[in-house]
Amino acid sequence: MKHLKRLLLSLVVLVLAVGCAPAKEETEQVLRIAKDNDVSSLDTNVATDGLSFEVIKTFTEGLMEYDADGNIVPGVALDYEVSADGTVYTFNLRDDAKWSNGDPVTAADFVFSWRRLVDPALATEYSYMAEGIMIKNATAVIKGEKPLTELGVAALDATTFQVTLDAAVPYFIQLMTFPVFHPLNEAFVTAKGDAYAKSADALLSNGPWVVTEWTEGTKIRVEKNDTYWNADEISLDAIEFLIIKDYQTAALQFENGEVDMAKISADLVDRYKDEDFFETKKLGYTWYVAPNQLVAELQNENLRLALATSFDKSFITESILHDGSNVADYIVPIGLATGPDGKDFRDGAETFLSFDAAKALEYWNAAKAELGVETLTLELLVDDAADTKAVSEFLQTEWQTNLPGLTVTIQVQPKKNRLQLMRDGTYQLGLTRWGPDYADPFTYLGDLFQTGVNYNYGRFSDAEYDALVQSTAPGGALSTDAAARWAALHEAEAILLEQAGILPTWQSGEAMLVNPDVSGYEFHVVGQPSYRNVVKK
Amino acid sequence: MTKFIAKRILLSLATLFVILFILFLLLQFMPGSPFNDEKLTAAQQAVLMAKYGLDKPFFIRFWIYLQNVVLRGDFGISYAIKKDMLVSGIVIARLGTSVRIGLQALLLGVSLGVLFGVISGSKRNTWMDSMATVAAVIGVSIPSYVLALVLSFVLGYKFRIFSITYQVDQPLWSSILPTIALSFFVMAQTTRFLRTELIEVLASDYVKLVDAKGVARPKVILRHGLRNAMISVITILGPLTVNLMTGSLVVERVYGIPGIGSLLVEGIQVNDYNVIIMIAFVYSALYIFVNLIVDILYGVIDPRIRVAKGG
Amino acid sequence: MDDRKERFNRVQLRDSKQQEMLVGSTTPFLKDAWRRFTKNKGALVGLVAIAVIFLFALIGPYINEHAYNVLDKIHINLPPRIPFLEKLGIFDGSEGNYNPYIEKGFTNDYFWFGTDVLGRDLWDRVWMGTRISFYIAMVAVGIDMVIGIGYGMVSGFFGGKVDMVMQRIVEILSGIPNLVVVTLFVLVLKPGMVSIILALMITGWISMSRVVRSQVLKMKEHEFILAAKTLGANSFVILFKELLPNIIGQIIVMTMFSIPNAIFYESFLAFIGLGLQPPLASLGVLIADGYRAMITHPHLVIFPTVVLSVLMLSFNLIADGLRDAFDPKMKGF
Repeated sequence: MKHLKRLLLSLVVLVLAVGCAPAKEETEQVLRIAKDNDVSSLDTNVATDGLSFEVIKTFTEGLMEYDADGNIVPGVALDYEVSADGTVYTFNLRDDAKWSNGDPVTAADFVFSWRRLVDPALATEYSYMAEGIMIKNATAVIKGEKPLTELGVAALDATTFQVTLDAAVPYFIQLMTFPVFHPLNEAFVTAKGDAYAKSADALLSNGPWVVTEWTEGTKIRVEKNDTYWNADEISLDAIEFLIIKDYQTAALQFENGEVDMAKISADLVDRYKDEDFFETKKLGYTWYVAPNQLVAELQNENLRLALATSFDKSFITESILHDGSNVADYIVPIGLATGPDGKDFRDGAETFLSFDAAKALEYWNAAKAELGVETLTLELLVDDAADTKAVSEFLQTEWQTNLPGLTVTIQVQPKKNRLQLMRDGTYQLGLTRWGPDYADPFTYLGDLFQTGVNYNYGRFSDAEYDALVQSTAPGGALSTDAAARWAALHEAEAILLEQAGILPTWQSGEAMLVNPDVSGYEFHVVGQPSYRNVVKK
Repeated sequence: MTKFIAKRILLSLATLFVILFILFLLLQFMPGSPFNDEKLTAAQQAVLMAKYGLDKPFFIRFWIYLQNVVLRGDFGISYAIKKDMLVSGIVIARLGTSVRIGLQALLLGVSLGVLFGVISGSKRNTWMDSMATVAAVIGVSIPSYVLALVLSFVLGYKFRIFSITYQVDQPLWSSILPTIALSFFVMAQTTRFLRTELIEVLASDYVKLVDAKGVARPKVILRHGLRNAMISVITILGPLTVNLMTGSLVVERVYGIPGIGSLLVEGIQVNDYNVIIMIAFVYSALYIFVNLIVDILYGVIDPRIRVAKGG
Repeated sequence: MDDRKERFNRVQLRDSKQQEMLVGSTTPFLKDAWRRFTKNKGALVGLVAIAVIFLFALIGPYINEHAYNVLDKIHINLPPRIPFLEKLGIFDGSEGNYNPYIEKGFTNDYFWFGTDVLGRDLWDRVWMGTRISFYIAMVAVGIDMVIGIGYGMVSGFFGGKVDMVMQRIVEILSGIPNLVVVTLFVLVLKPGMVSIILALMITGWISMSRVVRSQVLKMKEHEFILAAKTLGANSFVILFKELLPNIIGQIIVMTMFSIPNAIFYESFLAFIGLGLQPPLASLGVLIADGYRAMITHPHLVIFPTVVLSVLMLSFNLIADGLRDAFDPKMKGF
């Protein structure tokens, strides 16, 4: 009797289990992507993080877009003209571009969006981009010194949009693919007020898809937008961004066929590295250790050189990360920018500060003699992410082993705190990275290491370097001579690294699992991935 | 009685106020700023600080904050997780899931705990008692996240019986594993507690009397023993709630549940002040609320408590 | 006179345990408790397990040729391999169908618990992590002893306004869930050993102070205290000399319960990423790290989890045994 009861009970449980278990049927093409992060905002001007931009790109379109080969082609714009001095851009917009509510996309929509971006009342984080591309009066408008109407943008007529810059910016056109410069429908945004972009129905689309579902902490679903001018070319019916924070869970869901694309962490690479659905790609991030030159000892060049050359970078990329990342004996990453000669910036370029324990020891002995010390203790500041923690432990051991007498302690902080400490200059060695905003070496060499710039955490300062970099800046002496500019940028990199102003470590990669039935996924080293040409069998 | 309840409520409110103040104060000492994107200039940071009123003196900020909380239930906006969105909206959207899974675990845990407790307490020193006792010690000893890991590894991954993550479109089915993981401690604690209580009650004179009158043993246990023992089980609801909260933080993480526990961890990682304060406050409020209910229930059931507590 | 004597006797008869306490010397009481404790099978198992783990924590890291903090660029991510046991087909260094020891030619290497991504020996790391858990346990005991007992005694003994204020403070402190206090504290300070200990200090002693206070209140009414006071003894001396021995049993029990609690909180913090920072690695940190590679290298999470669980279980068994031994009626947590 007892056994019978137990048997019945387990049967009931089993039936319940089977009955409730997922049973899905799909007739439409839906791409399901696991994401380790949630979007922080779907407001074109307000968003700051990668996933937010990625999602925004699915339902909006800018003046320019990337094509399948990574070339920049017109999007909402049909074509454009540049003035001879490179400071006035006039875009002719296509007249068949529409918002998902039927309104046409006009030049006024761009003017509204760009003014909103620099509006001091909104105080958007990415307003600095408007300054970066030197839009006329951008700085004054952001500071509130001039009215929004003074910003150098104008709608000459419904389909002609004109931008006036203070100086020629070599990468201006490329930045027109960047989501913060995408148009906004003024009537819609104003009508929604504070609620704009806070939920799926408070969003308007002018891109290939339209947001239909946005569930807090769970998923975002975009569905094909029939009003999109190029809708015929889009084959995916929907894309679902599923927020799965744990890589392991995402990987298992991939194995179960519940997601089509999943990023995985270094811990999981061993399990999948031989599978045909395993892929790695190179990202445009270079990780480096910034030695803080406010610390007296770190002003010593030999010490910096010793630190820079005494750790085996290949162990980091091959064993700790093994996700397609690359040993970085440079700062401007591979694949970031193509020069006037049609070659990648790194192609044939010099490398610096390669791992060489013997040489490092020489530097170290010289440094000890110059500093008059036998032992030294330094603190390494890192993020609390799993990968960076492991790397920091590796750096610690390598430094302590290869540079006898050196003691390295590790301080781990959440990323925000780490950035704060580095910005304040209250650290010694800091492991950090930079994500490029535009495909030009200037995003590294100009934005990071000039004397006094905001992100120069280590307070690197070199007059010759500054002069070179400034000549390559928008409006600088070389801004119109592409070949000379390129040479100057190479030279600047050499100056920075020959004195180990920073300690380049690795260029990021990313390991992914991708359903073999999915093709046409486009990934860009700078900018967001594109799903426009994705086909799912 | 009314006076007693009123007093308890007042005290709870006072505690909540102090907690809100302490939370607000503690966050002032938090390192880092919520506006710390790599690409923000110092000037922009200052603009953002001003925009969100973070540059004002502490007490003025607290006063504004307090007014917003009390009058509008507005805990400010999120600075990082969901830019410019009301924190209350985000938290409330997630609260339901957390509370539901917590209640499921409480229900499951208490029911199983009562079952094991009764078996163990009434059949003292039998093999069943030993089994239940051992299970109970294991239950209080093994951290819920370890259990969550084991369950998701064995049942979710190795045997693929259950979904390894929580899925919004199957809220019940996919919450089975997290519920089990969370309920284990509740079950164990209830078993332990009920066992001791039941042994004591069954040894009391009046139960012995009923026994002597020849009433059937199961009836004695259920009608007299259990009823009295259950009253005292109410008192451990407070500590159990706390444990469920702690557990939810890690269990939500393991199973990817979009609840407030995982949101708190995320808020901590990105310095989203208002999110941290509100969730910590909600946790405290839940805890205080449960304690209040327990106190009142207990006061109603057992007048001696009321007297002892000076109501 | 007769009347008083009769009353005195009745008090003693009411409760045999109280009688023992009132007799004065505590030795028979402790001896008695120990006798009851050793009869408890579970508690003995716990005691033996703790002793074994403690021994390993002490000598474990030294009994093989590896070290917990030395990086090994070659022997990375190796599964466990133990001599002799490998012949039985378990712990033979294979991971699924793949045996890196054989494939990579490490036929003479034995890593009993395997190695991690940086090639560090997990055996050593687990026992070093256990040391930290013991260390935290000791700190928890210290906190309970010093703050909990002190606070409870002062509050209970002085009573009146002092007691009221002190109890309101405790009430508010205990109104905030530990979890919130601990996380916020760790957040405000640098994550690490110091902040974990400080966080435990804020809340760890509350239940101890409550028990002590209620005991003090109960004891205060007893004649022998009154007598001591009448004889002109200093109130502080009374506190220590007379009260402490009488509540020692409960203190020991409470302390034992706070140990697993402290170990749990540390590992919990580690799991949500607020734990100890490298190169220190507690069991919680090892579990948190190993969890991320659970499906690739399960050994990284299994060993520290097993040790932590056994440790927690043993402490709870001992605490249970002690509670039963000292005061079978006490319903603590």
